[in-house]
Amino acid sequence: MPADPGGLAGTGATGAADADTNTTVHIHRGALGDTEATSGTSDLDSRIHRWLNPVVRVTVTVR
Amino acid sequence: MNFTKFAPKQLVRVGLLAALLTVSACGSDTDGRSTISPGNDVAPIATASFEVTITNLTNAQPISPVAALIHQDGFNSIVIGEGAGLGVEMIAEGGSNSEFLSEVQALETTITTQSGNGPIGPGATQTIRLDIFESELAGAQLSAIGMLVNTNDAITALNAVAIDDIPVGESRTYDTIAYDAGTEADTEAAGTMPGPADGGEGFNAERSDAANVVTMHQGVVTRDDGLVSSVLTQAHRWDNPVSRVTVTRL
Repeated sequence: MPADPGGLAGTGATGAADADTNTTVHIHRGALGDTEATSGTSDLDSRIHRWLNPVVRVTVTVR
Repeated sequence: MNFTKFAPKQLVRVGLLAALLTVSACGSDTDGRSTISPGNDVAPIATASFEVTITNLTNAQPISPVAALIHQDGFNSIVIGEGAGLGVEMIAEGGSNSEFLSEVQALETTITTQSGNGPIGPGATQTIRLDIFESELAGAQLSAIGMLVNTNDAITALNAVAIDDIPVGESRTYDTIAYDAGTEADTEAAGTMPGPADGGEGFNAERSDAANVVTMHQGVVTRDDGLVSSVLTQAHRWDNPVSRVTVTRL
């Protein structure tokens, strides 16, 4: 993963997932994360790096 | 197929469609609409044909054979906040749509029904075709429902969308989300889910969920996120939408 601009990412995780089951483009199932800063399966923090769709809102203004 | 469960109206139209299809040729009139010609001396009876194409957008949640129906206004397969019927429970817990199809075939509001020909795997697409008479088109709505099989009782459904205003040759696309049927506790435990992640129990008449009503699904926890009694992994998680449905009027 590219760096977390917020500086909140951890280090030393083992990785949360193997290869995807669905190898076609599909809806992201979300990041797992964990609460271990320097170990665990994920360098993401499950308390701050999760999301639920939708993730952007696009407004088109005609000028 | 058990025809005794059809309402009289259903029996008549199934028999008529079958007779037309066996003795006649199908073609297109000058508007490009499909017709069924019952014979040389009888005017063609116009039909309205729809293809419902469903794509599974999840990573590892096959969708059970989808039950699709065209119906008049007033039918909803599920209603948020209300209890699921027996047919919906059997889909949601075991992925079997036969009871649901029997139930809706007995309803006056139902015009026609169709089952998908098998589960739809992650990333896979399946098309279900439904034919009605053009005289039945006014007010026609489409519903479809199937189970996310690596769950206790998660379903996805398209709920009573109007299809009578889709022009011939055009299509309309819907994204569907996951609902919790509310009929079985979401334990994710070994032996409780029919999908390949578990191979466990399907339908059980007991209503064991915290609330016996349909809700939006909160997703699966999985053992990778700390539910040690779960047989599911992070691969089985999802976020909405879980399927894309394109309805095309032929």
